[in-house]
Amino acid sequence: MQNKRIIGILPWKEGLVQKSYTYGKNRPGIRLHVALKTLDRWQLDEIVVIDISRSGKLNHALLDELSLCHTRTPLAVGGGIRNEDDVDLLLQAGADRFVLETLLFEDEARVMEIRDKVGRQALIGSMPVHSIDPKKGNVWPKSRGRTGINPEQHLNSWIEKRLVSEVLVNSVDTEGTQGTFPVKRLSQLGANFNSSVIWFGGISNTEARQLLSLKQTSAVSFGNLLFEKELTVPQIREHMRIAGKPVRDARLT
Amino acid sequence: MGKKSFTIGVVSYGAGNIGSLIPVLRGLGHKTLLVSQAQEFGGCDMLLLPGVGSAKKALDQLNGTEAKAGLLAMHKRGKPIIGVCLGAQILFENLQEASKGGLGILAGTVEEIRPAGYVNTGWRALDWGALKTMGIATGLRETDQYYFNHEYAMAPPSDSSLNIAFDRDLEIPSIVQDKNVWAIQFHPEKSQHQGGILLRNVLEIANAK
Repeated sequence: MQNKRIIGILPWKEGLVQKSYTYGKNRPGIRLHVALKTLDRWQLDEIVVIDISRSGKLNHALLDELSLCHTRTPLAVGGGIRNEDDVDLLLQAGADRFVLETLLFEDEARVMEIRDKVGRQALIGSMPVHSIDPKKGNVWPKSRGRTGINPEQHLNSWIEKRLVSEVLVNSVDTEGTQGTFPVKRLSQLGANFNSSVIWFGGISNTEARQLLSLKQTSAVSFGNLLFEKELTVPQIREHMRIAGKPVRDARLT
Repeated sequence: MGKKSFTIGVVSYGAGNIGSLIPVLRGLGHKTLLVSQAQEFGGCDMLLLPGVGSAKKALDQLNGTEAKAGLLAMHKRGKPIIGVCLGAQILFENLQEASKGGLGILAGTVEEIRPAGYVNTGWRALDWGALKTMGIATGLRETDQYYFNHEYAMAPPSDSSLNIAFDRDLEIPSIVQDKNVWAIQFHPEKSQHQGGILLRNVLEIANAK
């Protein structure tokens, strides 16, 4: 069976990596290039950096930070990407893949231009999901000015149209609080596809074990947990291996 | 094996992830030159052809340039050519993505991975085949894995004399070697410690021939 990935996600804002809680509350942490150097040693399968400042454009300070550390771990970057020029700059700064959100909702033609430039394999769609009524079990994407959208419909469309290769499903409500990711409520997302969904938002080992069993899962992601202790990643990996989940056997160097 | 430190020309043609590759090459102790003009190629011991994205776009940017002429001239002189990811794919004769064909340095085609729509993203172990006897796995563990991220795959002729390493899960050709030409489908520069060792081994084997 093909291995699934363990990904680290670094929210970035105002020059620093943030410990983020529901994307609405942040506690500033360290400089991005320091975090990248550290995570690069920890044998994650991929690192994702997301600019959460919501500026609506690519932040050149982010490019400067990325350029200070060329990781030997695959690096995806998102936040404010609006065109091919942004992608070029990120490529030069060391990014390998690109996370798109706004463009996927607002300008698919532009997404296709970017896709034709860097290849579908380099594109990840971002789908923030927010439960506005837990009692009724409704789950809707939440991002600035955009409500009432059916996440399943959009996710399916992005993949069927071959706009992106994977979709990052981010449970906004539970982001930042370990052990709260709503597996049962969200597990139907992407169920029509194999290895197309990256999950994020309050995942602990318990939720990771469940998510890694889903056919649509290509990766599980961790955020704040990475700040807790030095050996988080090897421990997660070992935990999944013991549980019989398909993750890579990686060595620390 | 041959000398330990080489001058590696990294072909610059607007479609490569040069920012990721050059630090790794320099970390291995090699000198790197960005080459795009004819006069720049002569000082290189070998060439590395990077690439990300669309084969058609990459070839459109490369065709008619001094970079392409320099690359083909170096190949004719027998200098090692190492292609990485899209750079590996465009070395082939025929590409499904590009109707006008590739550089024609390697026989075979590059086709969409089956099932249609599948993108191979993740870490895979390799079966080295005959490449193991050349020393490609020196310093590497059998369980080491390498990072793949591609939608199209190399398909060299099955009856060829090429040496091929395969991805153990999908059995996709992952390294294709023909004399002084190496086509590496995955990203050694993004495959952490083992990727660096593998790249070191390939460079040394290539230079020794």
